[in-house]
Amino acid sequence: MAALFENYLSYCNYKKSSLESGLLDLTKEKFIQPTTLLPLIMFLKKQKSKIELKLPSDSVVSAYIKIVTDSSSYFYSDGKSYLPIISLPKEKEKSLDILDRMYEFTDEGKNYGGENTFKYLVGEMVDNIYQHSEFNNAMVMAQKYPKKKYADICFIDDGISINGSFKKKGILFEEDYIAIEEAINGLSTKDKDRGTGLNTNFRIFTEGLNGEILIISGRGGVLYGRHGHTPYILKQKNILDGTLINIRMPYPSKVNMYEYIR
Amino acid sequence: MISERVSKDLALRGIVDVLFDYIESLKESEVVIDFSEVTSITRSFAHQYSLRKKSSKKNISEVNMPVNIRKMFDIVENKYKKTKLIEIGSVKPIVV
Repeated sequence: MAALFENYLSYCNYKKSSLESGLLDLTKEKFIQPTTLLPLIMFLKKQKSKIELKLPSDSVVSAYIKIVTDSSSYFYSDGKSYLPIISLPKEKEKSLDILDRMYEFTDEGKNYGGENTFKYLVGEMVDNIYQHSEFNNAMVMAQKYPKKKYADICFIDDGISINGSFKKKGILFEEDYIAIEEAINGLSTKDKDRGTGLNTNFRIFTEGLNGEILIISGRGGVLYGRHGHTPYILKQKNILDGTLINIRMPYPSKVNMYEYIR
Repeated sequence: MISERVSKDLALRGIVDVLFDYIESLKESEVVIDFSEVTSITRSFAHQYSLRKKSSKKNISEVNMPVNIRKMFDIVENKYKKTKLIEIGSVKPIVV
């Protein structure tokens, strides 16, 4: 099974055991990936103080989790390989500062598809959260892997899910993964001229940049890459109340995005 | 300049609405928006901008628009054909 999806399942296993025991035990973790960590932080936030957290025994990993979950350092983590978890504000105007910091983190996206392309990709992702999810909480984090030559940018929200958003507009899909596939193809809950942002995002990202995207939403998931896609139906224990999107972007990379927007 | 009032990187439909709500509150019927120093724009921003501009009773025009920004406005003015990236239901899902 693909690594990005396995990392999400790792979160699900932690969630299940901590709900049973009241303890989130991370002591054996050697490195924790955004698709595990970000939903865990959302989960802990929802649980308030009901779950006790045990940090990894490995002091480096433990320190990493402390730093990356300290949103006050989001704007002051220059030269680091990570961008700490930060909540997206309800007020859209304030989210521009968060986008600016993400651009700064990637040196204006110059080596991440190119400046225009990177800002387009991230801007459309964040816009989609504001337009459709109806979130109470939404968060973002980023992690570079210099040796592996890629970066993960991970978004999560606790909103109505992709299928929930379609359902609200009277568009019904039996399975959540089908709703995700339709969203990737550009189906919009608004009007026929909408939905192109995400559609072109996927084209640029996978065909242009050879990247990989994981979407988990409600009872479904889709892992999408240049060589095809894998849909998932999630059992009860693996459901996500909301939507998680992780984009894995190779770097250095450059693409002319206008070739993919016709 | 829109780069000073909003950002040099134009993104988010909601930001367009904030900008146009401000424009609509002005007494002037002629409004010129200076796009100097704008670096990037998302399709959603350009699309929402075009929609709000069309529905406004004011005469809104743009100056100093960089080539890449103009290109995006040209794209949203023309009908974009969405690319079918996935044959829906063609791959059997993994139940996990």
